[in-house]
Amino acid sequence: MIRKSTLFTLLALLFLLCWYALSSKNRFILPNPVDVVQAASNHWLLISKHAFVTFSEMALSIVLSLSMAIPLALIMYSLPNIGGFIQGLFLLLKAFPSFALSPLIVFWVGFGKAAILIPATIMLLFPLTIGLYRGLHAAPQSMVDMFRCWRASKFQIFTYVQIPYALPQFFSGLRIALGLVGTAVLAGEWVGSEEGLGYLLLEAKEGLNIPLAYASLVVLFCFSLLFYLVGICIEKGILHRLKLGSIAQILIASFLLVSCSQQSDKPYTLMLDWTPCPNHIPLIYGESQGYFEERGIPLQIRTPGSHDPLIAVSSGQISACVSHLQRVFRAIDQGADLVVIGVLVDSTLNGLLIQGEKTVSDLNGSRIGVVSKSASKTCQALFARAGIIPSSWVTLRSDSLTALISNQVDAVWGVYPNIEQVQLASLGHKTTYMSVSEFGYPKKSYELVIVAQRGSALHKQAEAFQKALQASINESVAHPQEAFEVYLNRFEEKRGNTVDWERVSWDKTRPLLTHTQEIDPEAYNALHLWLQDAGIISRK
Amino acid sequence: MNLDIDSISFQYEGRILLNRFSLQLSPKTVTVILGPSGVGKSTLLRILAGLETAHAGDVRRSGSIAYLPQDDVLLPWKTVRENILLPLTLQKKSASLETLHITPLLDLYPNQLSGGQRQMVAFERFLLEDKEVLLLDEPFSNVDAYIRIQLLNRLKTYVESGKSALLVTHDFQDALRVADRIVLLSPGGSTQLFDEVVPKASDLENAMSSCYI
Repeated sequence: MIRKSTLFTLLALLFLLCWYALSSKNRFILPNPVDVVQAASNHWLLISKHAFVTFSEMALSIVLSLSMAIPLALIMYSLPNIGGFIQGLFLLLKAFPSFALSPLIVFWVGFGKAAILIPATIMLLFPLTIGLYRGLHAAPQSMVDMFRCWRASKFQIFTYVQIPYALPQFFSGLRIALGLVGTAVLAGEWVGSEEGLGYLLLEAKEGLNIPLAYASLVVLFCFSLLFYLVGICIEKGILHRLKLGSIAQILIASFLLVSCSQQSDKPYTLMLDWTPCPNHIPLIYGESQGYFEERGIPLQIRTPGSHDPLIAVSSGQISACVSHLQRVFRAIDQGADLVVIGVLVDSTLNGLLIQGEKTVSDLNGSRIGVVSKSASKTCQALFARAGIIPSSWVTLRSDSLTALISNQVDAVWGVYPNIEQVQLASLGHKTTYMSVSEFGYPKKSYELVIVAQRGSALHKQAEAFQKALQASINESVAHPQEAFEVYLNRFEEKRGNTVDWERVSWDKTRPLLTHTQEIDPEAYNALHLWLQDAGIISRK
Repeated sequence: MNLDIDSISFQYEGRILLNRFSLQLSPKTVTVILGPSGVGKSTLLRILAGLETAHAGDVRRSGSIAYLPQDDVLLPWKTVRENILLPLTLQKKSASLETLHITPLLDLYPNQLSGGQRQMVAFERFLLEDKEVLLLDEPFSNVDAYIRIQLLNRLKTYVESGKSALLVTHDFQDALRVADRIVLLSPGGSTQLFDEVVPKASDLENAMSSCYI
């Protein structure tokens, strides 16, 4: 008979071999294990920093959910009517995808640890509470009767009989929770965090540093496995009367190590429209040089994660965000009370990237990748006017470049010549860029503007903000090298293989930045009219 | 008289288990209850132990009561010693166990014992409680015949010191060996009492065969 450990090793080896074999097909999408290990060793400091955050979030969610589950299960047990009701409620809650709760919770509690811990805790609460609650019913009636005959008090029956009999079920609940906690925390990190392995995973993917993404995934997997094993150890430990000191110490230590989230005391937050890229360098530079602060606007810049910045501003979670004027019009059309308080790029950047060297007519019968349904609306309107008939529209979410490289689409919509095209070029992919203005879209469409809520504190300081913003743009253009360094220091994950193309990208971005904060009313109205004509916004 | 059962009745899901059942337990007697399964023998013991309430009638207890149920009632995570001392521990008392017959088993856990050994341990604990009225529900069902005879004899001797015992069993031979009186419970709650002198085996056999049909 093969020993269990041998079998396990063999399976792991087989897995690695399969991985290696598969990765030879397209190493960009699936880097081989060696690439991943290399990425991990190159970025070990970055990974360990984010890993620490995730680990402490996992530990804290467990502690939090335990501290709620135990009293809850006891209440359910001691009040059977309520207990049955809560159990039913929990079964409903189990069917509810808590994963989907994360983006909404951000609106209620804002960004930061709470946005991660609350959904995670809710997710873990179910197996823990139900495990303990059912466990409390597990004691044999004859044993309870025996104690009643001995005139034992209710408390004695509880501690001598019911608690010990509840442990196996409680621990199987705990084991499930410990297996879930990785997923639970990841869900939150994708939405409401600027740190942690989930965040690193997204960032690495956006930066097309796929090996780093896989490395983060592997670390996350190891954590989940570790927690699961700890669960099994505790279970076996208690049930078989082993010493638990060491495990408890590890858990308590990790709990204590949880760094208090460093909430900034800066009152104004500005959310970027996307993963940090050279378009944002003036903002980052201005923030670091204090151009905003010296004009009475202490500003903190945030990355959006997978969140929609306009919604974040509308909900008041964020003071301002970077957005595309067209999106702002659409949001206002939908009832958002937003106002443009600054300009970053006034021209039109948005366009199509097509594989290889192509012309407009080549788009007929091709597959067009779009980031979202709403983006495809504009694109369809433009194509209709230009008489282009593509074979299909593919919604890609955020993975437009991967889709292009892996040949899932022939062209992608919604990309910038100074960002995505440069990035693809650095990977050796030749593409043709076509600006949307070539299809009749206004040339001056204010691609990147800063938006705030109408009547907000920041809106009232719009004039000072514009001065600070223009100063940031002018100074970063005047000191391109210094500004780029500041940007790299702010986003450590940029160091590594993304630096080179971003440097090129920054060179291409500088000429695109606006020279004035004045919005040209003619261009503004022209865009508004065009959007109305295309049926993208209503005629109000 | 240690226990006076005065005309108690008990129904379970519309079925009559006990119908105006009366019995007095005097000191130094072993009363055996015989009868087919499902006839209410265990229920009677549970009522006497105070775990169930009779729907009618009255139970007057003048002595303290110890109850030994049919199920395994040893806590699996405690040693035999801890299990035996459990009723005393709850009252914050202790005792020496060195005189018991099961000394070699004291430091083992219940799952290291056979079913028969576990019943022996439970029986020892039961005697150690030192109560006036002993209620035993099929206490030796898993114990092999030789040991069972010894344990029955111990029960008999123990009762001589002024206790009364009520033993539920389905084992005819056991009943004859230990009983001072035998109560035969039949379905529907009717009872037959073979009092004072243990009846001849054949009489009992006849009575039983009629109530098992």
